[in-house]
Amino acid sequence: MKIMNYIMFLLVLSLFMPAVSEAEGTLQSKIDEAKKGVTIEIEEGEYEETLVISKPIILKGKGEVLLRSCQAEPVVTVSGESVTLQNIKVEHCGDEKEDTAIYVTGTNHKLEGLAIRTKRFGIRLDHANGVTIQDTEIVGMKQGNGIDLWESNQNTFGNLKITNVTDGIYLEKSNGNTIHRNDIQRSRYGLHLMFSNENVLDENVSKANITGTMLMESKRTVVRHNKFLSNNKSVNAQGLLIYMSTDTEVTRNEFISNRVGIFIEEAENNRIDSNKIMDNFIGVQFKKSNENHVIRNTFVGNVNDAQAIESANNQVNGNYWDAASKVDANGDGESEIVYRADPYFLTLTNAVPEYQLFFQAPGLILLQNILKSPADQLLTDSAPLMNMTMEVEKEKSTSFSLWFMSVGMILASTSLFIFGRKRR
Amino acid sequence: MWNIWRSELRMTIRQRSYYSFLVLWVAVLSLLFLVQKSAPSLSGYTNMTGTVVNVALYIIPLFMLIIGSFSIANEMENGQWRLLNTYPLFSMSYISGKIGGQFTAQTIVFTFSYGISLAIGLVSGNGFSSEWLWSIYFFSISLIFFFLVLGITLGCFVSTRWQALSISVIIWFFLIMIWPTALIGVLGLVPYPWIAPLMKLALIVNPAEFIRVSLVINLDGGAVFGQAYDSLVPFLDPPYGILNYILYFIGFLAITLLFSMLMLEWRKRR
Repeated sequence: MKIMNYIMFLLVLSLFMPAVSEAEGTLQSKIDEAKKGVTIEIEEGEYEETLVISKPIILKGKGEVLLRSCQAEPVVTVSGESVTLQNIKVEHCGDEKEDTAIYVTGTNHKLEGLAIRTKRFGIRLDHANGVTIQDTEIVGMKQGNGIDLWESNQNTFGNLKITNVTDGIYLEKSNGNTIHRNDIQRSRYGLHLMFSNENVLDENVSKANITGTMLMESKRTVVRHNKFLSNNKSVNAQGLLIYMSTDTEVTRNEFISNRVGIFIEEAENNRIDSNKIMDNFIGVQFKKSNENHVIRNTFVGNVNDAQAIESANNQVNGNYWDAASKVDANGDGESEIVYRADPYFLTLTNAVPEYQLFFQAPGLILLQNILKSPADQLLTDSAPLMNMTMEVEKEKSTSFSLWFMSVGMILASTSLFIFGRKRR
Repeated sequence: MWNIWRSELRMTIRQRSYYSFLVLWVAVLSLLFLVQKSAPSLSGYTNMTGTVVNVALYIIPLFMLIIGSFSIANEMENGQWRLLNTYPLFSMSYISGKIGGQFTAQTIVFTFSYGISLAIGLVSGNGFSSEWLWSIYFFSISLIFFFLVLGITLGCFVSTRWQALSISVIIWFFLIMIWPTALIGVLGLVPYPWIAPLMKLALIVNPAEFIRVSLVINLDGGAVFGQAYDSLVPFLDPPYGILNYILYFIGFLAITLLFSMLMLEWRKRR
């Protein structure tokens, strides 16, 4: 009898089992049943399923809501128009090449307060327009882009925190998007624009990536008030790379501690205005680029301020260079002494990259002074500024610890002095 | 060995010329620290760091080579070494005592000057990052060590102080001033694929370059050396970097000690 009871118990239990998985399926069925414009609130908990949303509804998480899936399809697919997702955690655990956490197409959607974990893509926008994504965190595994746009226009991205992905925000053939106040770290490229025009990047922070931001064959991009910091871990690292792009406006950004602050390659008619370019190994580097304007920037603490190869026709005027000798005879705020940046080191290492080991070698400075490059290869600022155009603050340790270090050194060596002298 | 160490330390510290170094270091270092006032930023590897490093590279190796080679050449010249040879003293303990004594004496005077200069800098209202200060300090101490050892080895080879001086200057000029020029000249003659391994070999041969490159890598600037040294950079980056640095230090010491010992033994027999 006891065995019978046990079997009965198991049977009853097994009757309840499918009920659990049915409960998981209800999220999609709730969406299917919902009328246009309603708000669906998701109860706190974990949901192992994929959702497809194609009508204008609001899907809102109450408390901790996690949608999770390892299937080939995206965890959430959004299409149609005016879909809103709020306060949801989304995790895609699949490791196939095209795996995506959220796939968006259509118009005027709004995604906010999401937290996305993915092994490949975070959010993909495919022919999506007027979409707003904000207050969202994306963490990847360096195998896919955080946000990936394909032919998507007029979208807005604000207050996103993206780490450890391939490209933080990748735009291809996407125009007129606004990327505002995002923070992208430890990824390959922070922002990556390909064949995309009239985009605005502003107040973003791109830190410790291989390249802070890359603009490739993109026109009329506006880059302002961004910070490009410590993009210096790779041999190809730089703050901003402008490649074959035209009419870019780069104003009031900070480029600090990058390998190269701004790298301009085969690009024309770009304007670099009023930026702070500080503590980089190379401030601005030109390669086969002409007709660019570099004006009113503040160059401070860079190991090499500016270097140019095959780029003789750029307008580099009225910048502040801390390395320049400055004399202002007529009081107009501009120095009468022309500032020249010699590309000798770059020309040398271009031919034999191994010679880069001589970077800042004491002997190389000597060599550079003997063998000056011909005048047409020099990058010349004919009117360097006397004063900085941007505020520069100084990083320092507390003076107490420094005094401690100083006094400690003096005391230690004095006692050794006495010890050394007294010794019979 | 400890006796030699002690007597070397005592003799050096009691020399009047020793205190001229104090003046020299204080003058150079406090000028460098005062210059920082005009530099708006000071963390990591900046142009200011580059300047300080270059000044140190110009001045420290030259003096250390001269001091090191003189400390032996002097005793050779005035016959003190012959006198010492009448005692049962190993060449090994003689040289290591010399190195130890000189290094202690020079480190003391450098540390003292560094402390004073830092105080001068602080009094004049400058701010520094302590990580940066320690990097520069250890960089200078390493330079002092390597070039003292090199100088002492040189001292074992020469017979007069005049020789010691001229060869010291030649070595300094070669290793510091025209090193890149010479390498670029020589490497222009070899087939292209040889350049990379020869550059790495040259890096190990020249302690000044080795220390400089380690410093740049330590201050997070490894990427600046480019693709060709991608494999080398993690090798010198902490924490493994410190280990490799110590290994290099031991290897360098072993080779120079061996050479100077052989030389002294050969001289003894003559």
